[in-house]
Amino acid sequence: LAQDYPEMSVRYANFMPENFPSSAIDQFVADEIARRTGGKVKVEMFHGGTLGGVGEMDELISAGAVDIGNFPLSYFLSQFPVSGLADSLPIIFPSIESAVQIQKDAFAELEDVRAEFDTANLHPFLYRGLPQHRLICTKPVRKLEDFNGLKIRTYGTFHPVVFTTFNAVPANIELGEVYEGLQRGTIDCAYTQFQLMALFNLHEVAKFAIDAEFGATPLYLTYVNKQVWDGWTPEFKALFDEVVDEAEKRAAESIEETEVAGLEALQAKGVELVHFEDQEKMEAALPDFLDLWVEHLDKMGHGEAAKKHAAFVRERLKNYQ
Amino acid sequence: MSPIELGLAAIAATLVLALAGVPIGPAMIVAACGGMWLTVGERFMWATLKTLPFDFASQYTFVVVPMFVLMGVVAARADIIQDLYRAAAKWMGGTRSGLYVATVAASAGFSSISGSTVVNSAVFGKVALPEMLRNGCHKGFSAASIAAAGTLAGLIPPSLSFVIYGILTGQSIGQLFMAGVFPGLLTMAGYLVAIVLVVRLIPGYAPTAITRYPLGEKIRSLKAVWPILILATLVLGGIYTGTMPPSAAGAVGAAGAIVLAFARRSINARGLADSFQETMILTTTLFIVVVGGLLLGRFFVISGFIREITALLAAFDLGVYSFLLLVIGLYLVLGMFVDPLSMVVVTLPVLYPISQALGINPIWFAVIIVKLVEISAVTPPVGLNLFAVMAASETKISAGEIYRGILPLLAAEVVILALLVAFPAISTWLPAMMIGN
Amino acid sequence: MTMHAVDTALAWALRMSAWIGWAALGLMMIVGTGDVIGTAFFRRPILGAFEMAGSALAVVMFIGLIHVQTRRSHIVVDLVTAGLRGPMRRLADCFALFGTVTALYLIARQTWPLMLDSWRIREVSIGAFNFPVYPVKTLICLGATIAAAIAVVQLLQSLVRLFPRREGGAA
Ligand code: NA
Ligand code: NA
Repeated sequence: LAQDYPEMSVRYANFMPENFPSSAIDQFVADEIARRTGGKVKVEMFHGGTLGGVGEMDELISAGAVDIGNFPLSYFLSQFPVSGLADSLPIIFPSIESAVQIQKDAFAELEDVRAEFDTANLHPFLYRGLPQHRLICTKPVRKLEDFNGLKIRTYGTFHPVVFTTFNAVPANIELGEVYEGLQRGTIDCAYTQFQLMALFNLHEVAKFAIDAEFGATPLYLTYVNKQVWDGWTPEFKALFDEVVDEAEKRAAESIEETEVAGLEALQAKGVELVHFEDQEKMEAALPDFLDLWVEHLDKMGHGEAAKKHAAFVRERLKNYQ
Repeated sequence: MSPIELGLAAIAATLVLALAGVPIGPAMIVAACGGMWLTVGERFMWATLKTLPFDFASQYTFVVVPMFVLMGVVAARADIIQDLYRAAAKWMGGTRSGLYVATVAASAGFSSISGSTVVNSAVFGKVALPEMLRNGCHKGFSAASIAAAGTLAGLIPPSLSFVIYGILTGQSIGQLFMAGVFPGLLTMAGYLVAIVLVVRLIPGYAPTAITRYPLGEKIRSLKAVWPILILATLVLGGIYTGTMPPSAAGAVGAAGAIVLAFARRSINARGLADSFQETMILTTTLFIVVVGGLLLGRFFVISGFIREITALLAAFDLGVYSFLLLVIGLYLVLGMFVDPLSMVVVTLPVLYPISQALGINPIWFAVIIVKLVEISAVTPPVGLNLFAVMAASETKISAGEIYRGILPLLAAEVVILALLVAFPAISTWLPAMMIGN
Repeated sequence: MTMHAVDTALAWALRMSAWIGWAALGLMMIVGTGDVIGTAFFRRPILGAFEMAGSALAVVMFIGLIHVQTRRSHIVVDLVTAGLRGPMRRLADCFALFGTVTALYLIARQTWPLMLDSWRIREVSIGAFNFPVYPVKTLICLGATIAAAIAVVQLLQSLVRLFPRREGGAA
């Protein structure tokens, strides 16, 4: 019943622009909470980083400047070293479903991960996924040899390793300059999902989408300030979880469709889908990214917790092979 | 108070503090923090103060700003600009309006490597003004020509104004740079026409002495142009051949200027250190203003001011041209009193979404905004370029003299602005060509 | 502490901070140029170029505060204040410095938790090359704090000027 809910106003900061496919899900959560509480709980939604850029979000949420907000864990390597596994690794997850489910289970079951969120005063929710990472290039890439010398825009600590293994060049270029970079040949390829290639109009400047698969990953999570979460009534928490469950289902249903639509949009604008012949050869030649990750975290002094997390992921991945 | 009243109160508080002499950056910081404290509370304010300044200051996107400043400062210190100006004066100084024309032309040349309109004005205030006064040019009009020609740096690429617009709106900086080329040249042509007319019509504006140089000396002076050509080719050539992204062009240009200056033996370690110092001060001065503007912007968002005022403007159902007219009126009036940078930082988060809702080409809108910003740098009473020239002249020029001198050039600005509004293609044609649709 | 000691400390802080700021500018330029040349001609981008340049920029901006405040080279709208003379002028100067002190205090205060958090977690940069970030945040805290302290001294000096004493005393 609507009258069981406390009257309150909740600030929800989305660092992504409103027109991004994922933002519709955030908006759904906000709208449904307002609707199902009969307007007793108002959700003020701020899209596009207007309340804070992605680099500000963890602090703004944990300090309670905003009640709810999102950010990728890989952006805060030192704050969330152990929980950042799935966010930062290529190749590991064969499907969106595996990436989302394994992350969700790990976050529920692993103490080291929970501890990081408790320290940061955050309650994570809204587990979603991202489809396979792909390449869009100004020239076709069919075989491993074609990577040689290609300038590819990637990001993070581990994604560049995929390409340096095959003598490609992981160029430093900002997201906002990817379009021009492809246009002028500063880079040869961009590395992201089909839907985002279409959203950024990359089909105007790069004519070859490559069907090579570099792994699915979880999407960034969304967080409620932990004190705010603890202060909510059991009734409202139940309603919140119910809405979030539905949002996760919606996200899971729509993400593949959006990806297919993205590829179709690219093809409709004259992009050729190039078949990459060396997928298995590539995966065989790449290092084990879970090992690489553990090694990296060991250097940062989190070796034990990293080992546990990696073993957990390896175990659960068996269900998806 | 309603969100609209809150927003207006914050603007009023900023203005009162600034008019009472508090520097504009600190004034905005205090007004924004006061607003946050009183409306959303202390916690929001402290958290934002902890995250926003560092997050902004450490963004790679903004690295291009000090780098372009450094390139211009080094080029000025290494006498690259002095030589350029002397060459221009030899070629063009032979007529009554010649020295004014030479100043505008040389400033346009410097603009192809300098992104800062204030640096341009200060440099030519130092380099060209003494030469003009020695030849008996009109004091106020000479200073005004230098200040106006300084605005070319903001239009002709590279341009800090376009960089900041790009950062605030997410538009492509490379395309914005291209968009500025023809408006920059149009502005230069407008100034030249105004100068020739003024010198012809108003007695006392022409110089008392006109020196003509033999052709041989003129041709010899041309060798002063090559350092500028090299640097402009390095920066723009590097960008448009795809050798580097626009965001890296500043670093490469600054390194190029230093290498060139040492190769010409026209700078020493002391001069280089001074250049770094000047760059750091200028960058930080801008930083404080932008942080103030961003904090104020954050307050406008959290207080609901932006939401309400956007809804209000949307309710008026403005057409494209009435909206543009509103923007032009707002910027011209505000621009008389407020420094251009803070004006853009504060207003663009409100105006840009509306312009997009109206379907205005973002590149065209960028050119109009940047043009207005540059105009506000030369409108009395508060005009950054006017102040820069006065400061560089070491008080040989009074405010009254330069205020009167700028009037004919402002008349030219009105015509140029009208042309930019009436013919969007002046702004959009070149960027569209570059994309190839 | 005597005025002399304050002056000496200030001169030292100015010289040291200038060197740090110039080094950061130089780093920005070298990393940017090196990355362009490395990527375009040698297939060798500089790892972590953006993160390094961004950190250097933050150092320049916060260290630069010390110098901007020392010279008081802020952008000022002196429409009204330029016309003031005598005691009114001194009063306006006090007010201007009071506003500046407030703003710098607000900024500087929060650079402390920013720095301490960074030390606590031994923060490293993200991206392909993970260099320590806590030294950067330490410089940021120093820059903002020293700038705020300088502004306080300037405010005190302007207050002293507000009440000129007839008999000269040791300052
Ligand atoms: Na320029
Ligand atoms: Na003005």
